[in-house]
Amino acid sequence: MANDKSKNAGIQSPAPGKGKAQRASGKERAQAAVSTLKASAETAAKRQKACKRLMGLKIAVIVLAALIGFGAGTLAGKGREAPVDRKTVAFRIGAQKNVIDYDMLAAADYLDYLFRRAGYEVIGRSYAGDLYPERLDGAGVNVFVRGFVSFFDLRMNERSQNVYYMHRFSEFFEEELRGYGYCLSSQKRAQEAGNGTCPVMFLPGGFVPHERLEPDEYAYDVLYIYEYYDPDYDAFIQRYARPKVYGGAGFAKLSAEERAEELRKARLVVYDMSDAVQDDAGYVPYAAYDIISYGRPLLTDRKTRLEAETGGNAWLFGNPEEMKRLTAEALNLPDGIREQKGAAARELLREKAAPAPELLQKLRQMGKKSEKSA
Amino acid sequence: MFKFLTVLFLAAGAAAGYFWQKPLSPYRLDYGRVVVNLPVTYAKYLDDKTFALGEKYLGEDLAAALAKHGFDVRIYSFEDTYSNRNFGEGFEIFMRSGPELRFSRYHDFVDDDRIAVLFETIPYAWREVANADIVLTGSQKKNQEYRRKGKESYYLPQFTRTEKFYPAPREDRRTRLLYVANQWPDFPVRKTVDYAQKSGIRLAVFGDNWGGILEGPYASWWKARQIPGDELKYYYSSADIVLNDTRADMIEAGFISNRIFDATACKAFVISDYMPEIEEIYGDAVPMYKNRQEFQELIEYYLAHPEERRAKAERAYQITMARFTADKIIGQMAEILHRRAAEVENGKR
Repeated sequence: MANDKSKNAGIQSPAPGKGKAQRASGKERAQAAVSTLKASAETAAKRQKACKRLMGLKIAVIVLAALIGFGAGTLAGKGREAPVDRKTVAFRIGAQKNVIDYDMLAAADYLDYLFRRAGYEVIGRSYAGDLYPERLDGAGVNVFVRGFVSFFDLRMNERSQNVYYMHRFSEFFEEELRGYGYCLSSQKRAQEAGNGTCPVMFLPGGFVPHERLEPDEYAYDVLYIYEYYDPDYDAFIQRYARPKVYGGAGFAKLSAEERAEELRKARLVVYDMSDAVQDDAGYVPYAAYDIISYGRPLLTDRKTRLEAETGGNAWLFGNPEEMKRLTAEALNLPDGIREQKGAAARELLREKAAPAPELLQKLRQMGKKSEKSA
Repeated sequence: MFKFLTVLFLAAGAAAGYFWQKPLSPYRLDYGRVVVNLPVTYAKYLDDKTFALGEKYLGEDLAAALAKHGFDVRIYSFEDTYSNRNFGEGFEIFMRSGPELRFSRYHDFVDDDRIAVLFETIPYAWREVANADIVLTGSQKKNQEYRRKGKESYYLPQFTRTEKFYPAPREDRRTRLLYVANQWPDFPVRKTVDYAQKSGIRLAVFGDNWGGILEGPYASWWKARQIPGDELKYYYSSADIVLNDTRADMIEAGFISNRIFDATACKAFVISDYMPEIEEIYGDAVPMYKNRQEFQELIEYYLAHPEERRAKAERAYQITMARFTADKIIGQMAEILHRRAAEVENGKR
């Protein structure tokens, strides 16, 4: 209403009893007022229109700015590489997943454990044939775990740290150490070769600490895990109750829980190393350490280092005949004593389980190269 | 306010555009890059101009021709393959080295995005060929066989590089009967030398492993273990007759030796052992023999008829130039590789 009043403020009604002239001039005034009103309404409409146009223009400019920005951003973003995170580690294993044996799996698990201890997040593993999955693109540290044969035509991200690890080998070329920032090896052979290319740090065997497995009841007298099958020994253990036989690769295919369960149910675990690969004389398989880490009684190849580390609480053989004799000897012991020996070996090794501080320090250094680019 | 909003939306758009682009994998391959794998143990031998292995020179020619078609090409010895060169090549071309050493379950070891190409210049067993993603074979018969088995295969004969092989006669490199070939260890004596010895025809032999064969009265036939690749044109161009022969398994499968293409590109007059594939291409421009007697007759006849030699050499030269230059053959190879690269990059493979 207030608006109506103000709009009509300049219009006066003709007074009653006044002359025609007065009426005429009133009409004119009214007409003039109407025209004024119309004019001002038109002006207002024009203004409004102009205002709307301006607003539309402004919106168009803003939208255009957003589009220009998007285009420029798209161009700038084209070709950008996945960022790397210095605190993450990926393990790229040079053997197919289905052929990895128990020893290599245990070695990879141990590396995984070491890097976690050094403060890294392990983002995954990949295997030969699918070595570069997208999910591992951002790894700040790539650990290339060599299989029994060398990698060939490897791809490396130069913005991340590339680390070589040799577990065991059947054939080794010193040229394969080229291009890495760090080299680790569980075989001393690589140390000599690495001097001219990548200094190699020796990584002795180790294990991931596990809870001790104590059996409720035994399912097998002997759990025989071999690297190379010995049919003679297989025939020998058939005299015992429910012997169970696994190839190293077959055992590695089980899940971690299944492996632990198989180990738990066996009176005696036999791990038979192959002499077909070129190991250092003193090399102790990671698989043997893994079995000991669960506190299971173990019969395996004789290694001086292992004998000392377990305090004689593991059965160690030097030849096939001794392997059979010690199998009988271990199984002839009362279950409690055999279990005690397994537990004692585990306890002795637990003291050595903590990785050396200098090793952890070295591992921490590895991520530093990728830090700058992250 | 308007200015602020404009700048804000510009920045927001730029950020959205930047992150809208999917980041590239640092491990992606470049399909403009090619590695040619050679059966050579150490990288240092790749620079040895007298290294006695035909595949090395064929590989070099292949690399040079592919480079002309826009590919970035490297030649690898065995040493290079485990030295972490990090070249990121999309294509690996295998010549003789592949089947024995690298093709055993190839993609069990190499991610699927790298494409293995077998350039088959001598016949392989199917189990070796089966591992390649693409087969380029110098045999029409083999090509048909592979295609029947569902393999992506193309007929691609050997070729000659016209920058390297062209008519360049030199009096100081002149020979009457030129034979350039290695004697394969544990193989019977090659046909040309065997027939020549039995026919009393004197040859000039250049090649490796002739020690136990060209001795005594034949010792003077053996001139050198190798002719450097860039000098071969002088010898081919200057010989009265260049002799060619072919391994039995290559004849059976229909692989023509690249010696024919290189020699004819130098306008050499070539006499070869009989292959229907050579006859189909060259007609009588390359005379062929089927036995020792024909070998002797052809040599004696053409040594006595230089004008006929020149006419046939000219015709053979025209055929080679029209059909078997690196530009033509490797052009086809490049087309196949580019097509496959486009399919991979567009996600069709």
